[in-house]
Amino acid sequence: MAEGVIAKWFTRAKKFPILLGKFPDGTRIPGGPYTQTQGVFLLGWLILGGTQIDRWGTDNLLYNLVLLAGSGVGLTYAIGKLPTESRNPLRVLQGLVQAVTAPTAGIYQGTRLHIASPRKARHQVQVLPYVLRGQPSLPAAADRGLDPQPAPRAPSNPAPVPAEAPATTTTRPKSGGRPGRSHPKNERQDEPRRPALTGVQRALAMSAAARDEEGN
Amino acid sequence: MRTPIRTMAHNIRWTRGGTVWADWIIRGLPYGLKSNEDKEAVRSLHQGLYRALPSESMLLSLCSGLDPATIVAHMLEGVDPDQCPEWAEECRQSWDSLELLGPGRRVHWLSIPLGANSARDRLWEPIRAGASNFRDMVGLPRAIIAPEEIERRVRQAQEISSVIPAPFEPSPATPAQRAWLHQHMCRRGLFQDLDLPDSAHDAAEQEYRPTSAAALLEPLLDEGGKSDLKGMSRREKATAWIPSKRRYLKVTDACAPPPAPDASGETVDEEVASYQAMLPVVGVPENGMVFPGSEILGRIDGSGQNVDYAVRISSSPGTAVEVQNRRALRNLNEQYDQREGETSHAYNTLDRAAASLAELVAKLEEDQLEVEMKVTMIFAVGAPDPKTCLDQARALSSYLSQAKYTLSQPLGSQLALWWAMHPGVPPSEVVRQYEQISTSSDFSTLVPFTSSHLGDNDGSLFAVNISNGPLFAENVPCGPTSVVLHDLEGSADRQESGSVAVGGELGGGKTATLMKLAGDVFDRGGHGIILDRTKKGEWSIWASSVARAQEVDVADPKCSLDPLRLFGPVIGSRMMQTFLTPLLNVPPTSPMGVLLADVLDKEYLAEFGITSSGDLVPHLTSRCKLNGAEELARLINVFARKDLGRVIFDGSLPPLDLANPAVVIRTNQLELPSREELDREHLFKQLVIEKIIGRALHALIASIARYVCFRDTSQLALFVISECHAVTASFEGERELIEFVRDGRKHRAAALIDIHDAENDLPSDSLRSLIPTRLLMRTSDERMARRGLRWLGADPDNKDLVKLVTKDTSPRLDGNRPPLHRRGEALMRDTTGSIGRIKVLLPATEARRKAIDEAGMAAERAAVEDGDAA
Repeated sequence: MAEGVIAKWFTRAKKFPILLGKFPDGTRIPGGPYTQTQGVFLLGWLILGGTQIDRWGTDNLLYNLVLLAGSGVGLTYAIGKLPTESRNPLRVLQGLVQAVTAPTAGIYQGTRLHIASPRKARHQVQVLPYVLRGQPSLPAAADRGLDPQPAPRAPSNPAPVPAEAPATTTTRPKSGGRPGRSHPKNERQDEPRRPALTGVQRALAMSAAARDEEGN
Repeated sequence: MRTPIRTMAHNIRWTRGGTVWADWIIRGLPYGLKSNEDKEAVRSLHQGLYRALPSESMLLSLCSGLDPATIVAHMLEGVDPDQCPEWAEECRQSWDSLELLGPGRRVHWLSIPLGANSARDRLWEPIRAGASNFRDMVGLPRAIIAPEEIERRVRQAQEISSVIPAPFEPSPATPAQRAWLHQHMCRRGLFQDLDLPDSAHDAAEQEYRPTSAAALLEPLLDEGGKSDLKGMSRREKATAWIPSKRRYLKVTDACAPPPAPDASGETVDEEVASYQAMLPVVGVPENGMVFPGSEILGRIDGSGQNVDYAVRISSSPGTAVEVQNRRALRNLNEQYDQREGETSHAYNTLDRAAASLAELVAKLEEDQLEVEMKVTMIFAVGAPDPKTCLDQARALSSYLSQAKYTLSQPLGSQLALWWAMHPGVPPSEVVRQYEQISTSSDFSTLVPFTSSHLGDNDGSLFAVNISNGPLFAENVPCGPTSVVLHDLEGSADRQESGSVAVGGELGGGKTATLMKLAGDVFDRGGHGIILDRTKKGEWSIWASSVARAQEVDVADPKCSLDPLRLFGPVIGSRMMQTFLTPLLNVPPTSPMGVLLADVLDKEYLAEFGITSSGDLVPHLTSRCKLNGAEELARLINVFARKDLGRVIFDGSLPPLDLANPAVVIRTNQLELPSREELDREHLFKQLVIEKIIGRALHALIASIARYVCFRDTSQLALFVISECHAVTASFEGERELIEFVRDGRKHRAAALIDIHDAENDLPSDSLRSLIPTRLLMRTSDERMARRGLRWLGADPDNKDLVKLVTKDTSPRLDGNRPPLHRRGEALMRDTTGSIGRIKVLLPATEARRKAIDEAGMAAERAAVEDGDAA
């Protein structure tokens, strides 16, 4: 392709609106042309409305026919005016329905998530005092048939033990930085430091030591 | 819909839907500021790629974060922090700066379903997938895929990759990379992903390598973010419930742990929800796009948004679509009939469609290799909150509308479009609806697989790549912005010249750029000589921030540059002869030249105990018995008696200590002859003494620098030449510089020079082309800008480029200095020949940055004084 040449899209060569302007006998359809969707909709509306006329109709047949035809024509006209962005209007309507009926808790593993409302758990438990004679109280591991380890002797005045670090750690973006930009927060962050950062760690340690010396 | 991946092996993924896909990471081709010929070559390669693709394929282009830790690790590569504490501190400070900047890059991905042409695969694979799904459903263990089957699929993938044009360097995606991709999709806009895992990069590979199905996030997908309505007040709900205001998808990690308190006990506000908007292209420019200029995919980062996009392609050879084309023609003819007699512009529409169809058919018939492509382009933006997400979507739509592309944000289809961006998901009805029709030659003008990468893989943190556009404000880049590393030592190891030339007008930022590069080299354990011709001695001010730097002012020397004292009789005598020949203007073979050679002979010097230039003149005057000695002494004395001669001939000055890593030699007081004065004999004869001394001294300094930089090949050495025209004004200086640049790579030495006008300041073609890394900073003069662009390797006749250099590179707003975030902008050509836009970063260390600022202020004062004097 030579420089400055115009590259084209050919979408309209194949995606042009197919309209119905004439009946098969060649006479013009009043108010036409109509899109295929409009035609299908009107036909479906008339068939559905006609077969179900007993449900919605009144005793006045003429009134019923006028109502059926009028509503059909009106809705068909409205479908023709929908902002479809080259989509099938029925698909647009389908999207609207999907948006309205989307589950309030989301979709998880392909199924609508339903979170049960909170319920109170009720208990009816009886605890009886009972100690097996001639046996010390057993560690839980021994109860489960595991190899019991001798428990370390507790100091007479135990020092406070720091709480175990949570499995997940988080980093906060630096103040002034771009919002939300930080390292990933996931379960594997408490794994040993990455080998690629060895040099970085050394550099950091060195610069920190240098600053301490300056401070002293 | 569940995550489509069922099994992964090598670069193959077996999906739940019964298809098998292969994934590759694709290398983006250098594009940016290349010439039109180069752009056409890139387009042509894309065309070749599209023609090689099977019937279904998917291109993905993603914004990836760049972990500051990884960049710092690259900065420390090959440097021992124990030996270079200044560099360790610079790296630490750089880490903080990078955290604020948030660098990123673009990752290109290609996914192709395998076995589309095999009836056996099309029949059996869905059955296997169905059986596997059933096993999962009833809780049975998974059936293992036989090794032979994996090998067969890998072979299928290799057959496809073998026909992908080689410059794209398709590299099979690893399971870790696919886990990264999945996580990126789920956390789009949260900037939480690390670099793309790379086999050469252990950290990310370990982070993402999947060892079980649990390695992939389980996303909770909420179309329209309806779950957010739950916590809202009735009043908020009244407006928020309207579906058209919630055209986005909320993605959360269903298995994320609850917010945990940090070390200080505060609960960190975790941004676990990613709000994403998917925007397919619904309208294309009806009258086409002019190439170059049509690259909406290749230049999507110019939108300033962090945009991902997927292109789902369905391609068919021309012969295969003949039936469809005939049907389209029949439909058209029927439409003419259906709309006959209609009072509207319907016939115009049909005429345009007919013309378009005729053109398409003609294209397919003209070129037997041409394919028809049905492409669905889906753009995606993400943010931690709905408002930002919708703002980004609007900004992106507005950006693309300038190129006459229309984006939609279809209501109720966000979820389907989100899945459509995943490799392995079959094209849904939504995808088909947004298909646009093109051919390989036309669609290739969008050049999606491009790169603006510049610089080296390791080295000093030199600049930010602003090829997408300049920074919006300090630390606010335009789209994913990568960094430019520059590795002077690595260049030598790769047998390339590490020399750098910086061009631009006064005040464009040349000196600050050289100071940044030189400072990094000294911090990394290098050494060098700096020739400072600036009026206020900017380099001397800067050198105060460098440990063990020494200054020599040739107009007021505190130490001597006498070669005999610096290098001894063997090397010093040769250098002295090189210095005296132009100074005395004696041809080497003339009687005076021969006498000079005899006197500077090492044995002669040893015999008479001449150890310095200061001893030479008294010796010639009183003790030398050779013919013409007195005349030679008188001739040398013409210069030796001058104050400018003291730096060589004053024996009372201590010699320069060459053990110092940084030596600054100030020569601003020296005058220099012009080329005209040197070329024309009558002008040459009238040269003033200051110019003769200036010319000879500059050549001598170049010679000293060459010796000092070349003597130790284990250490990187620099020769920094501020105001390079001072050296290249003389033939000797130019020759020394050419030899320095040419041989530098063999001795781990590099020259850093600054110039104003590439063609005048670097008169020799070979010197201009020998320096591989070139920077062009702001040049307001159009003619000089064109010359600079030619030197850079860009198109000098490209008006946009000329405008970029003259008007949009570190622009002075209202005649003042450029705003802080626009300073240091330049066009850069790296050692590979790639050209892009950069913003040079000042050192992260405060003291070094302050020294550059002070030097810059001194330069400004000098400019003001010059202005006042004028």
